[in-house]
Amino acid sequence: MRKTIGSLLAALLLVGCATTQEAAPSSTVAPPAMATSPATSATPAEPARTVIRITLADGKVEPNGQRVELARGSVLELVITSDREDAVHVHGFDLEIPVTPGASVTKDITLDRVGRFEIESHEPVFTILQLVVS
Amino acid sequence: MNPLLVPLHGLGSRQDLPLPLPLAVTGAALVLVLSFAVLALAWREPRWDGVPGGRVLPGLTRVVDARWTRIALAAIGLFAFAWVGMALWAGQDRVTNPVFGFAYVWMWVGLVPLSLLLGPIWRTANPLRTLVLLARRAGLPRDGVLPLTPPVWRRIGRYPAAVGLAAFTWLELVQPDNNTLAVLRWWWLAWVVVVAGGGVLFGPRWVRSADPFEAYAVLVSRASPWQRVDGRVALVNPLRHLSTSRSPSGTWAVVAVLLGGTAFDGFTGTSWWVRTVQSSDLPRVLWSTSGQLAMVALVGLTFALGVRGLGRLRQGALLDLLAASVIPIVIGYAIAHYLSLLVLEGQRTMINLSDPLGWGWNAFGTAELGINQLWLDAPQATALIQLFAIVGGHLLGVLVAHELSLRVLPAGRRVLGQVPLLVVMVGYTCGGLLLLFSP
Ligand SMILES: [Cu+2]
Repeated sequence: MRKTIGSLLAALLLVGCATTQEAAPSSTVAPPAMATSPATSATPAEPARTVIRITLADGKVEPNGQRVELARGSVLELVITSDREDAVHVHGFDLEIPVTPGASVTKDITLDRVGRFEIESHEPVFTILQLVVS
Repeated sequence: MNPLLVPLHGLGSRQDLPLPLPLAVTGAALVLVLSFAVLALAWREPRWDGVPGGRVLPGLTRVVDARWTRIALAAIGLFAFAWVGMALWAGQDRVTNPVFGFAYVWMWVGLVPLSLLLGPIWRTANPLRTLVLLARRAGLPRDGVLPLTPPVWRRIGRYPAAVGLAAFTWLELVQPDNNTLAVLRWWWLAWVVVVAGGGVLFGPRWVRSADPFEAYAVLVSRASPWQRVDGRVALVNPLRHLSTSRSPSGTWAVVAVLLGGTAFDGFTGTSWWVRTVQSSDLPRVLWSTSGQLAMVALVGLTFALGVRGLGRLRQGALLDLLAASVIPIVIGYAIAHYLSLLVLEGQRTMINLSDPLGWGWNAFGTAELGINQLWLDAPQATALIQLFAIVGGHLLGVLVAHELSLRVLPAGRRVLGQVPLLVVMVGYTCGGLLLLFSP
């Protein structure tokens, strides 16, 4: 529906990520803020890759609960910066990514299961993303 | 255990995929067509006119009513109460404690298929009822310490249970830290004191009025194929069961709380809700509480508007009668929203139940089992089941509403009078589809 496309677009714009969901070999167009694209050496076997930047700052999170829809088998790369001690919890994937002030953390997640999962911060609790893998 | 399904906290770390748009649209179209087909083509005179009937089964009745059957069921209920109570009061405050899955999944979700397939079996097994009955055996007056008169009982009806169901929904969806023992213990105490304590005061009839789980189970069992006909168990048409079983006062409130609660649960999963609440400076508990209340009020008000087309709402009798037609919609919503949870988290609860204290027990031999994940690999099947549950529930509901409307409408308004309620029901179902589509 338009709404889905709209929210996906919104996610793309606001999150500052670029997505390629074709099965063909693909690379990520890095948003301006990002120095390099991680998929420059794409080979035909390499799965699609999506980069999303997460910022925890001033007791808020960015993105703020947006939905991202990604294909099963693709890779989600989270780039997290924080101004506080916290953890980013990827529900359903049993992943807790600790973050510390100042440092940026990068984490690859292979989207090997289908469903809707929340990515949230814990102190305080915020839903950062609704990850829809289909 | 497979790491895939071990959450770090809380239950339900995975939700179903949104219903695909083509399915949602097909569902909505089916709903419209079916609704008006029923209005135009279904029977023109009341078919059952409030009289239960079906194939009476004397043999089954003997088994069901046998003293030992009832004792066995009550014993199972008491045992589960004690076992899970042990986990609640002496277990570890971790997500592997089975009490969470037992309360939020086995009881809250599981009672729906149980009552749908087996009838009002929950009532017989209800441990709080058994406790009150045991107290009566021990010398408590038959109708409690403070007996109430029949007119008072009639007025009380299911209203206390409706409040209890709203409270449990609030616990499940709003209460912060509802996956910690400290919080759950308070709620458990409140439940036992209100239901069993009230049963001591007013007699066992209070349990039927006030226990939210029993009220929910009995409500769902009205759509089961098992009904008492002249005191004997009979295999019946669920439509006839729904349209001829008693709707005590307050049934409409129970239905509104359940439907509104499930709808609110779906609503909180939309990105819009999450973003709005998170960008607001108001406390989240306030948002969620208002959201739940608003959703219940929306269901209650629209239902009253729909029923208003059938006649005057004298003291709610008409509301309670017609509430039977929303029961299948409630069941459809519950299955569509929670079946995956029941299948996946239900398995985990079964595993955890073997070790209630976290001491490494394997009491039921389930501790080492894995979770069968076939379910996860068939999202299309899940979507079809959801669609079937929602549309099927709607169809049954519309047929029941039709039968009940024919009973109360004067001859001249038999078709037109049904339209408002029909429109409201279409609204509930399309709303349910929209929530599953989850924009
Ligand atoms: Cu979390």
